[in-house]
Amino acid sequence: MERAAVPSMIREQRLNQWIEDYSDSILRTCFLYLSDQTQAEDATQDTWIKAWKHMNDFERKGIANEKAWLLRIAINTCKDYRRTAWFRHVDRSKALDELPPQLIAVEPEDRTLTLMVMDLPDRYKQVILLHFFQGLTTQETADALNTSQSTVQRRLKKAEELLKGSLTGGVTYEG
Amino acid sequence: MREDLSRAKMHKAIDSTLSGLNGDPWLFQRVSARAAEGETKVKKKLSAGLVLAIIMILIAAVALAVTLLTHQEIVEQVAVPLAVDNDAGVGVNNTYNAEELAELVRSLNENGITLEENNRIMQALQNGQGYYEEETIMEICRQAFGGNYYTWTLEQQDWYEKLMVQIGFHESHQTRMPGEDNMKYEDAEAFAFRKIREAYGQDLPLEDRSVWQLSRQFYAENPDDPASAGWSFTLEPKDIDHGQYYVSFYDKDPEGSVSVGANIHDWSQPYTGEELMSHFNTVYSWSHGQWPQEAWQRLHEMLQSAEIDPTSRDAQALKAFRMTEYPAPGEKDISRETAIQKAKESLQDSRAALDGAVLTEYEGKRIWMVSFVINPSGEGIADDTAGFFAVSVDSETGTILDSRKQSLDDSTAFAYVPVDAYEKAWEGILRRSEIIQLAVVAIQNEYPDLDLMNEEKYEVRADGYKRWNVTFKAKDIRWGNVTTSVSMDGIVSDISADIEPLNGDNLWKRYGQAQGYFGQWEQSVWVRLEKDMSGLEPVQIGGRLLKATHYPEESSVKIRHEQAQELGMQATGKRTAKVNTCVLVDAKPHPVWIMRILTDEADEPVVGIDAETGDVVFTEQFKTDYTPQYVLYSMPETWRKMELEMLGAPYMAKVAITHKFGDMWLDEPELDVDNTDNWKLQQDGLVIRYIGRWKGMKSYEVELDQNGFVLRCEEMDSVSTEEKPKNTGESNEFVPAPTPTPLPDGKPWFWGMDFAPQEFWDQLDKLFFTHVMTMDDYPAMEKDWLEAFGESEFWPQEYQIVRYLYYATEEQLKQPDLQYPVFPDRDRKSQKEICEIALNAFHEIADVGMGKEWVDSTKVGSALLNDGINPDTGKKYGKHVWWINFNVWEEEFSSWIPKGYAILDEDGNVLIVRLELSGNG
Repeated sequence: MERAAVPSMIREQRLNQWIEDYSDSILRTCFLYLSDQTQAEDATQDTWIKAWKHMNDFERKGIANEKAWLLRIAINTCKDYRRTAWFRHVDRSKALDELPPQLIAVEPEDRTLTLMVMDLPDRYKQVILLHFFQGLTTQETADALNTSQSTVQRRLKKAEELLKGSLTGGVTYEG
Repeated sequence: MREDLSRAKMHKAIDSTLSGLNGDPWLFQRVSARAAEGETKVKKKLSAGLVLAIIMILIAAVALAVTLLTHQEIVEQVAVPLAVDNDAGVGVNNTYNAEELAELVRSLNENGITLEENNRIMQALQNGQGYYEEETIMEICRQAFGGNYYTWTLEQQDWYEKLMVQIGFHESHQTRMPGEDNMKYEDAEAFAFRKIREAYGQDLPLEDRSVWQLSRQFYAENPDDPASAGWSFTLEPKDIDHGQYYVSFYDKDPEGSVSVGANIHDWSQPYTGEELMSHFNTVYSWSHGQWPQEAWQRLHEMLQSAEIDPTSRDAQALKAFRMTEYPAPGEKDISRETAIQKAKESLQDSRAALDGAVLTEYEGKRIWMVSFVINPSGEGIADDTAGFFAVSVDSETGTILDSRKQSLDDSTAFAYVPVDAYEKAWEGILRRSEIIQLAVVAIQNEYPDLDLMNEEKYEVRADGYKRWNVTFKAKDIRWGNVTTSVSMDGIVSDISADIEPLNGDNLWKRYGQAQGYFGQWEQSVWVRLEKDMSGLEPVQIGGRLLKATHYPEESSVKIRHEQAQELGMQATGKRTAKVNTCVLVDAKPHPVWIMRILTDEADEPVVGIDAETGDVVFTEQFKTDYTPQYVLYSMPETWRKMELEMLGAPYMAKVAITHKFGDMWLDEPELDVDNTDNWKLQQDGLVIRYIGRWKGMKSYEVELDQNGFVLRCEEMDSVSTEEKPKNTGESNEFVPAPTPTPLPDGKPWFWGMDFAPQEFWDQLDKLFFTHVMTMDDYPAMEKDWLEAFGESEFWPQEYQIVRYLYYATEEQLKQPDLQYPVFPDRDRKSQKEICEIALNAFHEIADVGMGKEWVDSTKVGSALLNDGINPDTGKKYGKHVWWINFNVWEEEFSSWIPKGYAILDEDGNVLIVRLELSGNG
C-alpha cells in the first residue's frame, strides 16, 4: 500500500481544524449510537486517532468530503463498540438523564424525538443521523455507509415513518 | 398543516437535548457549577441595555421606517449578515444570541412586520434568550411565502438555499433552479403526476389543492455533476381520507430512474387508536392546539371503532378523545374569540400565549377548552406561575368553569377535553404519581428504612418512553441513589439501592453523585469534602489518600486556578492543550495546584504548579481508566509512598514499565508483565525484574527508592531461546511490532503477520487478493458483501476479518484488541457447524416459551473473536470464542433484531446461551 507522506505540520493543523469543527457533532453522533457518555467519548477519541493515522489515505485518495469521511470512521468505530454483551443492557432514557445539564431549555417534544432516534434500529439511525442531524446529502450518506443512494432514500423514508408513528400525541411521561 | 421532520427540526431536537454534551471540559465545568448552585438553566445575564431594548420591542409602538423593507430584504440585509458575523460560518449549530435576536426583531417591527405573540422566537425574546438562526430565518420566510420550504416555488427555494450556503449551514447549493438543459418545471410535474396515476389510479384528482398540498424540489446531489440533478414531488393530504403520494427521478433519465410510492390507509380495515392518532398527527401536525375543530370531531368519530391498548402510553388520551364530541359552534355558543378573551382575562397574566381553543361536548355540556403557554420570565429561575394552562369556559354563558395548570401527572388530552371526561378516562390507567407510589412500596418492601418520599432527602425523577424509570436521587451524601423500573401496567423490577452508610471509602462516590464528575469541581468542593472526611476511617487507598491530603481554600494562595491552568498548559508546550481537574493541595514549601492537561496525544500529563511561585513542581503521566484517579488529588510523594505500602513494588514497577514502554493509545496497554505465562517476576528488595519467558520477548528491570519513586526503568532483550508455543489460547498473546512498509508485492504491510497462520493468509489471498492487490478496493467489496449477506454479522468469518483489517488502526494491528475477529482453526468446528450447534442450544431454551417455528425463523449472525467477556462475571474467557446472535425479522423496522445470543468456544462447547426479548438490538 503506497503511502504519500503528509507533512506533519499540515497533519496537525488539519486535525486541529477537524476537531474544532466536528468535535461536538461527532461526540453527539457517537452518543446517540452508543447511549453511553463515557463510551461515546472513547469512541470519539478513537475516531480522531484513526483519522490521524489514516490521514495519508485521506490525502492520497483525494477524499472531497472530510465530514462524511470522519463520520464513516465514527460510525464504524461505534459499530465495533456495540459488539459486546454490555450494550444489550443500556437503557437509552437513563443515558440522557446522566448527561451534563442542558445548556438551553429543552422542549419535551425535542427530548422525545431524540430518544426515539436513539431507539431506532441501526440502519435507520445511521441515515437519520447522517442526513438529518449531520446534514449530509443522500449521496454523501450513501458513500459514508457504503450503500446506494436509493437504499438511503428508502431507509430515510422508513425512518421518518417510524419516528412520526412513534410521536403520536406528544409527550405524556415527561418527568 | 403537515410538519416535516426537517433537518432544522431534527437538529434543534438533538442539539438542544444533547447541548450539555460537548468536548470542552471548561464549558461542562461552568454548567455543572451553576447547576450545583441551584439554577435550572444557564444563560447569559442580560445587560440593562438589552432589557431596555426588549421592553421597547415588546411594548412600545415603533416608528415605521420611511421605505419599508420586505421579509426577503430583511433576511438578506439583517438576518444573514448577523448570522455570518457572529460565527464566521462555523456550522449549523449556531444561534442568535439575545442581543442579535432583539436587533432582528426590531428591524422587522420597524418595517411593519410582526411575528405572532406566541411564536417560539418571540417567547425566547421575551425571556431574554437567543434562538436558532436557521429556524428564525425560516420563520420569517414562512410568513412571507406561506406553507413550508417544499411548498415554496423553486425560485424561493433557490433563493433560500443560496442564503444557507452563504451562512455556512449548507455546504453546497443543491436545491436550485433547473437550467436550460433540464426539464421545465411544468413538464416534470406532469411526468410525476402521470407516474402516480399509472401506479395508483387514473382518476386521482392530483391537481386539486383543496385535497393535497404539493411539495416539490429540484436538486443536484453534486452541483458540479449535471447527471446528479433530480426532481422530487410529494402530494401531502389535507385530510385523513386521502393518501400521500411521492415521486422522484433523475432529470437526465426520468423513465429509467423514476421511483413512485404512497402511504395509503384503508380505514375500513381494523385499526388501532395509536395508528389513527399517528395519521392525524401527520396530517394536522403534532401541535394539537393548531388542529381545526372538524379534525377533532373526525378523530372522535373514528376512535369509536378503533382498538385501544390499555397499556399504551396514549391510552388515557385516546379514551378521553373517544368520549368527547367536538361539535361545530352553534347560535347558542359564544364565539371562539370571545371564549379566548374570557379565558385569557381569567388567567390575569400578560405573558399567556394562546395554544388553542376547541369546543367540546360531554354528557350534554358544551364547553370551550382554551389553552395557553406561560413561559418563565426572569433569569431561568424556576417559576411556579409559568407552565401550560387549560381554561374551561361555559359555551353558553361564558362563565369560567375551571382553570388548571398541567402537572407531570397529566396527559396530552389535558387541554383538549373537558375535566369530567378527562378524569373518567383515567379509570384503570396508572398516573405518574401512582407509578411512583408503586415503586416506593416495592422498594420499601425490600428496604423498609428508606424514607423515599421525604423531599429533603430525595428528588424523585420518573421518566421513560416504553417503561417508567423511577430514580430517587439522594440530596445528601449520607445516603445513595435508589432506582427502579416500572412497566406501564405497574410491574416493578430492577430495584437498585445504595444503602451503605457513609464511610471513608464511599464518600468519594457520594460526592460524585452530588457534584458530578470530579474533574469539574471547584476548590470549595474539595474543602467541603475534607471536612466531611474528618471522623471517617477509609480503608482503601483512594479514601486513605483523600484523608491524608489537606485541601486549602483558593483564597489562601497567590496564584489562582485560572493562572495555574495557563502555567500548566505552557509547561506542556502543547498548542491544543486543555485542562481538566485543577485542585489545590497542601505541600511544602507551598501549596500546589495539581491538574491534568488534556492533549491530543495518549499520555496526558499531570502537572503540579507551585501556588505561590508558579514553578512546575512535578509532572506525571496519566491514562484514563488506567492511571488511578488519586494521582489527580494527592501529591506524588504521598500517593507513591502509600502505593508502595499498600500495593507493593511489583505493581509500581509494572506501571512504570507500561508508562515508559507501553502503547498508551490502547485501552489496556499491552505490556501485561504480570501475566506469568509470558513473564517471570524476580524481586530483590526494591529492584524488580520481569523476565521474558520466550525468545524475542523483552525483559524489564525497575528500581524504586524508599518513597516509591522510580530510579531506573530499563528494557532489555530476553535471554530465553525458547519459542513461544502457538495457539496457547491466551488472550494477551504478544505480537512483534510490524513495519508499516508495503510488502514488495504491493500487499498491505500487515499481510502475513503471525497472529494468523500462514494458511489463512493464503486462503484470503486466494479469495480476495489474487486480482486485487491493495485494500483500496475494500469499499467496493464491502458493498458487494452487504448486498449478498446483509449486515456484517452475517458475513463469512474471513470477510469480517478483511473488514476489521481495513478499519483497524496501525496500533490495533500491532496489538489487536480483545475482540478482533480471528481465523477459525481448521481442525476445529467450522462456522457453519458452530451456528448449527448454537441454534440447537437456542432451541432448548427458547422452544418452550417461543415455539420451534419462531426459533427456526431466527437468522444466525456469527463472529469468531480473539477473546470475549463473560457477560455474567465481566471477566475474559482467555480464548477464542464464537459470538452468535439470533435475529428475528421485524416487519415494523424492516430489520433483523437480535432476540438472543450464545457464546461458544472453538470446539463447539456452549458457554452461554440466552433469550433476550427485551434487548435493544
